[in-house]
Amino acid sequence: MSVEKKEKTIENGSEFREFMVSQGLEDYSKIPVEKVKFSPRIKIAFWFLRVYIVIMVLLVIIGFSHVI
Amino acid sequence: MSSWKKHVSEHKSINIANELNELPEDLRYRTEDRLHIAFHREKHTHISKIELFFMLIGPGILVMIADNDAGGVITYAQTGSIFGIGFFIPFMILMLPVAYFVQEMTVRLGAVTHRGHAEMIWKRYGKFWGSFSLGDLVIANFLTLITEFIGITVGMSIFGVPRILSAIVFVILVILIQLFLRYYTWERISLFIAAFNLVFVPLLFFLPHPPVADFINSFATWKIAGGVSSLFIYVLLANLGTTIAPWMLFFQQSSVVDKGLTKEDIKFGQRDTLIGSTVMVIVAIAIIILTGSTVFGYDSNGTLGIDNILKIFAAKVGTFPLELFALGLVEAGFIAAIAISASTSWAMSEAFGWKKSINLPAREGVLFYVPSFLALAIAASVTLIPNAPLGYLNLTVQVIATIFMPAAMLFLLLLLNDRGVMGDMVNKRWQNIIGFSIIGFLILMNALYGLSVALPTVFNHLVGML
Repeated sequence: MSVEKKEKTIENGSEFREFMVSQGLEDYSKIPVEKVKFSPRIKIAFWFLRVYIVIMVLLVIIGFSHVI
Repeated sequence: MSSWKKHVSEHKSINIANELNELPEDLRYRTEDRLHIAFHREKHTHISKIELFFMLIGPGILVMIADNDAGGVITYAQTGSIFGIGFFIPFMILMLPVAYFVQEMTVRLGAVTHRGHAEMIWKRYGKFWGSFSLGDLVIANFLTLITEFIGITVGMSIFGVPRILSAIVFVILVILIQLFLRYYTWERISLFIAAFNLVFVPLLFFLPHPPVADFINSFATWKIAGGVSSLFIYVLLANLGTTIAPWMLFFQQSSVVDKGLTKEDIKFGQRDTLIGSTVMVIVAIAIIILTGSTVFGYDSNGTLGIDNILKIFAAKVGTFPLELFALGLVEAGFIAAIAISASTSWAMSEAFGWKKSINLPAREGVLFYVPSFLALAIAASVTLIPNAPLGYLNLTVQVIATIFMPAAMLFLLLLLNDRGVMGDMVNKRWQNIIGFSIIGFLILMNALYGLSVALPTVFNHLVGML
């Protein structure tokens, strides 16, 4: 291969890897995500969410049963 | 400047065939797409900038137009039929910034984390909330798919196509599109199909008496025909549910990830979302005006299902506009079926750690494709059941979406405020104020709905027309 041709190519695997990383083209399934530690505020929000969901699901069932 | 960028900026060829061939097929397609984008980004000509814009837009427009799905079209048509041209016109305009704001967060989250919404909730907040969010999404997506096939079969029946035939044909079409198109082509074809959603806008010119004065007055009066009633709250929730829905968060974030957008692309994703939100609202308002000026006030013997609405619409404007409306309904169901089944595939695969990409060939993506294909087939079959309460089911699906939206929004906002995830791209204070205000508004609306169910006499009118 000529010198000119070499200049016009990316043959170096590290350059390619650099491109892949810069473009977010890694295999993210192999990079772990740490589970968050729930702060008291988040715990309260999640309990509120549980109660809210139960109430709303019951209301939808009641509403739907009126029509059926 | 990094060495690969130098090669790209100097327009030199990149001989990386060997490296590409070593990549898994799905990643190889995405890498090729990103190489095209990298070349266009470094060219710095006007044409390349325009080309770059068109290459990077997609998920935002797609999610917003898919949100104007058959269920959405039916909901807007019912809204116009029941409440005419009044409150819901300015309300829909208010929904534009709401939809944009909510969906913009998914662009940032996807571009920064390179992970889908289901994966982030599952891994960051644990299996309980991960399964809850996934279960909610899969059930809501299945119910929504039923409404898509209601739209498709009703729309095709206007052209004399038997419902069973149109259900089978469109299930096969969606499966073929998911299975044989790779992400970039899949997105372009989907955008092409989505463009037909605009058919509702020129339909306004067929109205015998364009309601220009009513349209203008609606902003001054916010008139609610019949006053605030259970039905009004129900329809309001349905309109909220069809404008912002949990599946949209999952879809756009996964789509951003599968497309391979990075932090550099966020501004394009934001413009994409803004264009999509604007088109969505324009189409929604057009549909409300169409039925608000033709079907509203018409004695419909107490039923305002889409079949009946179309009959009345045809009697007022003629056959050709009816056919255009039906075409729009079919397109709306078709594009949403594509988007929603993709959303189910992405979310399930993200949660369970399966391979996940539209770029996956069929042989490698069995787990990715099969669950959503099953959901498609079952949903299409449900619409063929005689005397199923499809009209009511449609509004109920939207209401369920609204009920679960605060939960989905809460996780979105938690993630957007998580420095461990977002780094310096976390939400700013004003973004949190808007985000939590939207959650508060949704909860307030749901509480009103709850009140109307538990104590129906509080309101003047009961849900009886649907």
